[in-house]
Amino acid sequence: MRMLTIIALVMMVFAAPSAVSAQDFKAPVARSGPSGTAVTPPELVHPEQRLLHRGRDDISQIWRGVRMGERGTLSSKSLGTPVLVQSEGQLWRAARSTLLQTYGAYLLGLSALAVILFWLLRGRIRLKRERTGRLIERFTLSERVVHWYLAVVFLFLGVTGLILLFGRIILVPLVGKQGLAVFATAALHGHNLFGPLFALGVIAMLVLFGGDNLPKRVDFKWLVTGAGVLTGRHVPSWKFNAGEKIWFWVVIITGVAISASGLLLDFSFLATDLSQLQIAHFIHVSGALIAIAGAIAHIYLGTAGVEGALDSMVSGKVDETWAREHHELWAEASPETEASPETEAEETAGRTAPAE
Amino acid sequence: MIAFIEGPAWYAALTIFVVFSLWRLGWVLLMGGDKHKSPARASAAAGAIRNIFVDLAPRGAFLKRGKVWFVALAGYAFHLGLFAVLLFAAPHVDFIEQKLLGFGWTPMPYWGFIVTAEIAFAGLLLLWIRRFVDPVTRLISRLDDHLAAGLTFIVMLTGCLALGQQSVFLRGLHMGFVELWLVYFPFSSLFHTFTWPLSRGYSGALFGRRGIRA
Repeated sequence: MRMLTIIALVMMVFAAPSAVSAQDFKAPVARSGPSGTAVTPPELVHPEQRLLHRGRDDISQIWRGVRMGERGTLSSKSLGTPVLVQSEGQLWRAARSTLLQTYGAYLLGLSALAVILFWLLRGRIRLKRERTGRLIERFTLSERVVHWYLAVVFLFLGVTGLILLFGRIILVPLVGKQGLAVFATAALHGHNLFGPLFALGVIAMLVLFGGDNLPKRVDFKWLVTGAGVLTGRHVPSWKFNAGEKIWFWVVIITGVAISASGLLLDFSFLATDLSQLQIAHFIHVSGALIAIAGAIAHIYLGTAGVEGALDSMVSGKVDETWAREHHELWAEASPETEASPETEAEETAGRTAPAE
Repeated sequence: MIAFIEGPAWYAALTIFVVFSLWRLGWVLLMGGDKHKSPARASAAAGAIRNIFVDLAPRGAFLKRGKVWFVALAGYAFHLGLFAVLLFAAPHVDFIEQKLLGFGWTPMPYWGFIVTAEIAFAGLLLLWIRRFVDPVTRLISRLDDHLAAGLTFIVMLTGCLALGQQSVFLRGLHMGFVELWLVYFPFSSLFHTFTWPLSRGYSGALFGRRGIRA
């Protein structure tokens, strides 16, 4: 439902200016010619007569009609929509170069900057206690395979997508226009081919990880205290903390939006109107930029940022100390976890306490 | 450069591939098997045929194991997909006709090629990733296995990047990696393309002769 609202909002963004421009282009029904004589509006004249009697005003009117998306006839259906100029295309191009390229670059830059700042301020998050040597299974083999499958496909699609979006700006000064042509054609075909593989990965991800990423009461506390940073006290969490859950749902929501819009762009014959493809492109790139910005932070935290995080996704196992320090509730509930000294003391006290 | 890649380099790679593949196959075939002193309990030939053709599906005892299904499905997806792309993609059929055999056959439609390539890519990626994240498979994987998988992946990837057939550079890149793949092929685990029926047949015959399934 939220997705539909977003799509509707995006459509309104596109539809509103085009409606305004269409009104701006509307010609009066009757008006005076250059010499003050009455001129018949071109839509009331036979096309052949329009050509015979075309003056400056008539040509303007014809072009106004063209720019308003006036439909003609085509000799073959395979030629596409019988519209000479789709004026919304200019809006789409403007949205691509301003909203998507400019703000997209800001978004990616901000994400990278945030990671660098976090690294400078916090450094690598290391374990506070010694490792116990006891290992707990965190991710099954199928979870690990699906994660890395999606990661590889996402990286490939991200790089090829960024070449398509920013190639003209970044690559032309480096490799020239002919070089860009090679990069762009390679990126386009690779991107189109790998797209459906990404959609499969998103579905598999949802099936395997969805259950553990449903929100719980403790997640709210984690969010309110800024993961414990604001209070200075550790906030326990289950298998995934609120931050990880948010990232998961960002992946799923943007993944579904990227996949659905990407499939429409891949199989463009399914679209009934060119504007559908333009909206799909807008959704596709916006979703991808959000996902890439999030992935920059995710990759940092999953590798260099947090000690032991990468092990969990490679071997599937984490040290008990890591589990207790990062996902305490999950660690306590795990059958592989040995009782901590505190828990043992509590249990002992419970056993020895006199019955009331 | 492209003239070199599509000319002398191509023929050199092809010669290495053919000569050393024949040499290795011949060596395997001429090696022969052990002489059996005990009388056969059942047909060795039937055991070999069964192991090559019938036992390609997972056995009933393992049907409930997800790992077995994963390997079977991803394995077949990759191998059959690659086989179909290699022999039935339109650019490959053209190439075979013009550079190798002098005749061609009906290629797959473009959509069929795309679907097949995607199936092959998904299979290869899943199987290769498993080599890194499954502790047992990681231990038994050698550098050669990773090189074979990586080279095959790059050949497929450069092929898909050159799909537009607009860039000579991309075509040359694909051809260059194909040649590297052909040169590496006879000396690596890629050679199981030819030896799998022999090894499965040998095991099947050995056990079939004893009256048991391999």
